[in-house]
Amino acid sequence: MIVKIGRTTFNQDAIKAMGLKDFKVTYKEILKDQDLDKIFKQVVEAKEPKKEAVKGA
Amino acid sequence: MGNCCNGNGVFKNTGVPTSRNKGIDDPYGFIICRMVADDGTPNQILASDTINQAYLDARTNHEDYSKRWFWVQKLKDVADVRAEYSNVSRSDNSTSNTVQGVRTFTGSLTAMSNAYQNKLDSFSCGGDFGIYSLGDCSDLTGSKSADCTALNPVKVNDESWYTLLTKKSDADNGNVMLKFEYDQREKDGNLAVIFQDEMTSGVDVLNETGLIDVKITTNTITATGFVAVLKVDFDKFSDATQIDVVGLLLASFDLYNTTTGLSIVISSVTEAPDGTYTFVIPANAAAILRLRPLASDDNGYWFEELITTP
Repeated sequence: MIVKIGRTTFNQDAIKAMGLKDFKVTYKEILKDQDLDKIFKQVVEAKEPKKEAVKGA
Repeated sequence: MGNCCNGNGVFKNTGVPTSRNKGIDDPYGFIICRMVADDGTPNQILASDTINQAYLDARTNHEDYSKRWFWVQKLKDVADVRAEYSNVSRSDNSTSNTVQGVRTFTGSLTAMSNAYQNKLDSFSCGGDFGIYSLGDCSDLTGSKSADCTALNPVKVNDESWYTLLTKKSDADNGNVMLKFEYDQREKDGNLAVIFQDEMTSGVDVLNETGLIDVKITTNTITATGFVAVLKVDFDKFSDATQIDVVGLLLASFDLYNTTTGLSIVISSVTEAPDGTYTFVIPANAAAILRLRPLASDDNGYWFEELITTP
């Protein structure tokens, strides 16, 4: 699943596989001045948006 | 070409159904494509094809240019005319038709510069090609295959294809005039039209546009990523005026390792500033990576860049 946060789109599986420690090293400069712990959590915990119920179903 | 009678002497019946095509429009636009792709497959629309938006997008965005559809729209001052048959006079003053007259197209793309002329000129350099004409009722005209199961592009005499630039003046915008002959083996009797109501509801071929070329410069290349700066490649010269390609996401890109023959799953793409994309990828051995747009994304751009990672 692709997760968009700010101007970055993440591959959720790739970030999960990376782990928080490597994530913080990798994105220290790319996402400078941003809360990397928070962003990591948002990415790995993101869920597929629910499809809207079909009217009349 | 001479008159290609098949020699069986059979006349065709002249009854006319109520529901019929009442004429073929002058072209408002074209789809230009190769007659045959590099892999030997003919580029054609099958009678069994469903023409929906996905069908058009797949052809517009095809990574193989020899299978791609190239759209040209908003043709003005069009003249698409076949000359009279050539003939020979007999001793009794009668005439015999010999060779069909050439059909010639002339039209203009208005408010266009030499940048667009440059794009059009490329078609005379790339192998046999043809066009599907787009009528102003959003219909599409091609040439029936011999077995009538497919609609082929109408072949163009590529040696006749040329463009003429008119510079902007007080009287008019800059224009690019296009002129060519259709291949002499194409017969008007073989033309067939796919009308808009034969396509999936909502499809309008007059709304389609060709891909915009993008140029890429890369820097900060490592085993785990790179930075790519994307600019529209059209008519801006100075770095300061070149247009950034903005808004692309991870799903817009296709990254392929040409050394291993495997696709690369991109970990993330960050756009900052506009038009500058920082890619994070899994660590890989030294390789040559190929970056292209992902065809299914339909973002309207074309680029291909080889990136050598350490």
